[in-house]
Amino acid sequence: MISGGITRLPQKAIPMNASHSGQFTLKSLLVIPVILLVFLLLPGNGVCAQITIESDEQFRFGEQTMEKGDYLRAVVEFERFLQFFPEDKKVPKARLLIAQCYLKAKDYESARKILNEALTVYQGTLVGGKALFLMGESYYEQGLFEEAERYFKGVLRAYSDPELRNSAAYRLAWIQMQTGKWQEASETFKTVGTASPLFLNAQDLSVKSLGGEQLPYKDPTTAGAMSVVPGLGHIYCERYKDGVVAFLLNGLFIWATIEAFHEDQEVLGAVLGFVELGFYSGTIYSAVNSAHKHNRKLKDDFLQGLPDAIDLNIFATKEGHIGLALKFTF
Amino acid sequence: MGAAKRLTSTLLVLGLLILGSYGKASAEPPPPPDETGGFNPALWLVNLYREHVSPVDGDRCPSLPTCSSYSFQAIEKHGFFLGWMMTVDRLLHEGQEETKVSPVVYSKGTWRIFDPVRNNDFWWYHPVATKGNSNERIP
Repeated sequence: MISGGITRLPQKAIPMNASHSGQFTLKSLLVIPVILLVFLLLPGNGVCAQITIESDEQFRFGEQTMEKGDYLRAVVEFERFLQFFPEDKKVPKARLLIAQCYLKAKDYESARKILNEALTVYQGTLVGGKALFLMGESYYEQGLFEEAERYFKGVLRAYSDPELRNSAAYRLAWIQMQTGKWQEASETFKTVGTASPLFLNAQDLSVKSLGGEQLPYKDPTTAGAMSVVPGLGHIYCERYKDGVVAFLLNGLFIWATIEAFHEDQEVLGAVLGFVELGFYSGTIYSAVNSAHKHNRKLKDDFLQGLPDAIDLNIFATKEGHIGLALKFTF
Repeated sequence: MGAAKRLTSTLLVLGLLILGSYGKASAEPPPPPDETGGFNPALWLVNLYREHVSPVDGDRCPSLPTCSSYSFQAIEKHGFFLGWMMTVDRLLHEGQEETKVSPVVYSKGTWRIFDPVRNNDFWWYHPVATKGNSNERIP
């Protein structure tokens, strides 16, 4: 008879003598733990398989996970690598790859936390320089160009590795283009060394970047000044319908305000005047905003047409000296 | 005498409107509503519209976020006066011409112009970047 997985003896097999019964129970109680202990002490391969992971395998697995685009899982794999192989020579590389995974996952704060630790540990070394470069890249990706600029300038100031310097100069020139400093950008592109894989692209951009100055920008100040007559600023920014709507809305409110005062409705006039004050200032803001948006669109379209040779979004370790975290495209 | 009375009452009403519509104008993000402890009439009005007028009026705003949400966010972010100016700007530019300079995205079953507050204050509002930690090394 089987119950609950334990085989019970038939009733008739149990001795009826009380003392014998006591001995049997005691023996049973002793035998069971001994058998369990023997099982537990048996060699592991009899119970479960044992896996041995080498550092290269673990590291490669992290890279493969990253290549698949599963960045946060890749972080876990690289962290596992750091946990089990803290003395391995690829530890600095793993740290930077963790930061790069966070960058690709757009978790910029986590990336910067890791990079800051790397900067402390590897200051003055090539790894430290790369960490500084990636720190700048994290801000660049976020569109925080002022902060990014400080880090790329820091790389140029503190590190002598030629390819690191070339990459920093190249990215600095891109920031200058992003912020509309076309002449400066052109000059900075020229500083990229001839031996760099970025050289040809940089030379090309040093000429093309000057085209950014020739774009048909709208002057925000002019747009704002023209909006003294509501709608004119919008027309200057080639937003004709918006201009007509602005003119009519402001005209109606001004007319209503004047009429209210004319009819001795001071309270109504004050309310309408208050609303119109907001509409009038909002119209000026809108014209200035339109000019800025027009210029941004022009600049973004222009920059999109230019090839960026530093591609952080494609993982590669084989190309280029700085290939640890970057890929150069030609 | 009549003119002075008229001027006084006008200024009084204007003053009350300005005082009543005063909101927190700060470059920092405002604390959550339950922590402010204050009452913002401008936000209350926008909320009144969102909760009672908009459901009846229907969802006709071609932009994302909708104009009332945008107004709420703008007032919350920049205070009443700038928020109001930005709301007027949004009301003026929400037409087809905006698609030339802003992306169009698919939302709630229709295509809308993606025009958040940051799309209209990018040229003057630059929040301080959040650091990885307080000890971030600056080169």
